[in-house]
Amino acid sequence: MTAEQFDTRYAVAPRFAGDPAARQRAELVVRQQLQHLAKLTHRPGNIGWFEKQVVGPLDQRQGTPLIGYFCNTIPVEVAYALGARPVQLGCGNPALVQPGEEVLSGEICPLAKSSFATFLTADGTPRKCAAVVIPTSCDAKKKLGEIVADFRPTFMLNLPPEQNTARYLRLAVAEVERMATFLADVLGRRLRRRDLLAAIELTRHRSVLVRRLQTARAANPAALSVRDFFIIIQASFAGADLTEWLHETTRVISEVEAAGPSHTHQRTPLILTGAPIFWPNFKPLNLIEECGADVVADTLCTGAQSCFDPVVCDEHSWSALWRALAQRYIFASPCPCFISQATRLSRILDLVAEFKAEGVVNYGLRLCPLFDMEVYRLSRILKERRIPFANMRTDYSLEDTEQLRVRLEAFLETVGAGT
Amino acid sequence: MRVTQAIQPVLELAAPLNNCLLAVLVTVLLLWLRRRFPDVRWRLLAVGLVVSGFASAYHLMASEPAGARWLAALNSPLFAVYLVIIMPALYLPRGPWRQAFMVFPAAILLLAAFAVRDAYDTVPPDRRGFYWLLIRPAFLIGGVVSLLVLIQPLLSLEWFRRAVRLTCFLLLVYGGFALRQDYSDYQAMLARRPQAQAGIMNLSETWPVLQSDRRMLYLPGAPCRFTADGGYVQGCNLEMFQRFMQLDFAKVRRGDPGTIGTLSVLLGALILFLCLCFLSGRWACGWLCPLSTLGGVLDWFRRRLGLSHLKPAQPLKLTYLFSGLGLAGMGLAMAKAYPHLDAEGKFAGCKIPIYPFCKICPSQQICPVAAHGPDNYPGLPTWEWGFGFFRVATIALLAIFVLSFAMGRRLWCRLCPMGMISGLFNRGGMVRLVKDASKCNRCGVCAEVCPMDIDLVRFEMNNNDVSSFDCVLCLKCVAKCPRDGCLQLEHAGKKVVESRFPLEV
Repeated sequence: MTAEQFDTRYAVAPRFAGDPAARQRAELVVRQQLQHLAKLTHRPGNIGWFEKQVVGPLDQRQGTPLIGYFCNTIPVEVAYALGARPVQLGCGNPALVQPGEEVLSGEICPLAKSSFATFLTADGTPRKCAAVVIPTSCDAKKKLGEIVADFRPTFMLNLPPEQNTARYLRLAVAEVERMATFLADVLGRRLRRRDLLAAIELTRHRSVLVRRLQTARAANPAALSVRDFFIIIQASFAGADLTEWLHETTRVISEVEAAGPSHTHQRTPLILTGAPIFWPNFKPLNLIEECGADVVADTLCTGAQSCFDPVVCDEHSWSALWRALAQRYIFASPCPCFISQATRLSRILDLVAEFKAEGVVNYGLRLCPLFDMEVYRLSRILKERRIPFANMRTDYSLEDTEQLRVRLEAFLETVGAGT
Repeated sequence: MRVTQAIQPVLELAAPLNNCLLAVLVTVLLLWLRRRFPDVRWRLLAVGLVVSGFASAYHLMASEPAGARWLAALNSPLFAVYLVIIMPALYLPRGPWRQAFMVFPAAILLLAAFAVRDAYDTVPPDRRGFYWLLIRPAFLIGGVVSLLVLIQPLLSLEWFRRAVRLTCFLLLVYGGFALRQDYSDYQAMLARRPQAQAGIMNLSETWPVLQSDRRMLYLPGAPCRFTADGGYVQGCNLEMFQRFMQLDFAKVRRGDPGTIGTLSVLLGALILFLCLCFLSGRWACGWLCPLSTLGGVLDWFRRRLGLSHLKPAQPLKLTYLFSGLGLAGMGLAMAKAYPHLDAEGKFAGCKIPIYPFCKICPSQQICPVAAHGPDNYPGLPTWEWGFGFFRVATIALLAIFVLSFAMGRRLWCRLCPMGMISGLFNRGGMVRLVKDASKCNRCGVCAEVCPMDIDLVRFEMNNNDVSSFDCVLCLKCVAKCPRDGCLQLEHAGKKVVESRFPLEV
């Protein structure tokens, strides 16, 4: 008998707190953001489909079981292979921070609080999930797992502290394998190699499309707003049918490609890095675009970076497949929860060079010490290479919007002056 | 009018291109010019000047009989094909120039087809029949390489490698009897057949196609010449080193013309071999070696069965390395006994084969069987050979070969001494595996797919050069790397191929 992750002796009954006022406020935020986006001039014809996926509610006609997960270090292919649909449970709704805070402590990031708030409502996405998988990517996630375990069957995926394959690959592979067993047990299904390979192929298609869309966008950022780009990407892990998503995204790509490269490029191309930006908290994206700059590429785990790398498997033995998943999701991740930030730094520098960006903006989420402390090295390295850098340190609330706008405008002026 | 006759003057004028020294000179020159002169026109001018200078010197020297003999020993059509077809194919940027160049391999392919027809025309009308393909080596190599260059744009890197491997396998294993030079050569092969047994206990000299004009071409890799009817090239480099050891240097000191003649031919062969290694490193192991192509079949079965491979730890890797070195050392030392063998073939009361290493090499067991079926198996040495050493070592090495390929991808290649020698040129030679660490996402795919289980490519973050002595340059890491431009292969400083994530759904 193996030790359980959570001690069942101290399990407590979940307490749902349906706060109708908070719910109305949350819906208002979504509506406002949708209206805000509707003002964009160039939008893909089928953006409505993607918006429907991220806004919800989830379409569960086919009765496909859902697997909720947090972070981009979870090998979602396993869920697809088991016939389930993975749903990223991260939430960006500022109106839900308050209800989350009432139950949890105040000293954690708004992302954890608002995401937890979705567990509290009777009809939220987490309640539809057959199971929840959470990686130990930060302190909030670690403790969130134990709390959430009262609500849904939960699996904690232990991440190694260091992205060192020589030292931790065996551990990471064992964790991924354990997660697969857990999900198969919860769903009462058997994981077959064929299905896993098909799922890997499916997500490879997603990587291909995301890369093509990113390349097409970089040639002409005006053809597709970064906000729409984020909606498209987040739709793919908000529980949409991935085959349908591939179909719709192909249409977007042809539209963006048809627009052709822009010849009059006056807006400042920027690289966005930092904490995850979840629908509907598009405040940083709104600001950047409204101040006259374009995000041409990002290293966000909710942006293009999340689907950029494919799972590459050369051999089809089980151990090779587990290794391929672990290496892609854990050892190639630019998440600051690992000791060295070299992967993220080189990615940022590479993107600056590749997309000829004129500056880097870091979105720092208040109360997230991981991203916050990485700014030390990031700012120094970028300064050394003479790449303009701005740190947007904020939370979900809209109170500091104007203050940020002033700072961003000043930054963009220095960028313009430097060139 | 025969086409081959018509172009004979052109071929004679272009003879200097066959010289291995010119190939090395031009490649090194290009590397140097790349650093100094960014303008392509200057580089072309300099190369043109050097080639014409070399050609004049060559023709001058060739007018002297002794000089002509020396030059002939350093010539091989491989180098002409390298200079004329492979280099432009590698160096020309994609675009109109490259497309225009493609006419050239197409023309050579056509010429090769005419050469086959011409060779058949020389067959007496009453003897016309099926003689496999009669074609001269220069046309054959030119034709095959042209074909590969022409189909390359249609194939992915991995499929192209498979095509090259299959071609080299067919050429090196079946080329000995299927691709003779002309009708008289074919007749000579048939006449030799009854006595040309592959048994190398007693030397029955085989006649590879490329042995004409007292010129020998040894390749890195294992193109075993003990395939029936002689094989296509002279053989592997270990056979060459055994031949060196067999020489009686006492006779050389006395000035025995026969031994000195052999020595000079061998020296020519050594220079040719070193030039090949310098230009291509251990490339031949990954793309050409027929032994690894056969072993790859075992590897394929393991993959189909979904079994994972044995990832060798450092001690096992070193065991293989030193076993290979030890066996090669023993084989070479025993070859030294050749001049001292008595009438019964014994040295100090012990029977020793003429090519001791070849006898225990698995290639000598496998290639004849692959070429002509199980009847051609040379048989196990009896117990009297080397007091049983040869019997035991033959069985043991064959077992290690089969097990290594069946379980450990290309673990065998860590033991193979032929590859070790060309591997020395992986660093400092003209071929370099280069990594742009800023593009690396540490996903470790390069280490995961590496058939030699090399970790250097994954872990190296400070140094651009990730070539290592054991790398077989199969380029699987380059083909599978998901980051565009992270890994690339450089030849003489020029990017030949780089990693690119395929954007096709």
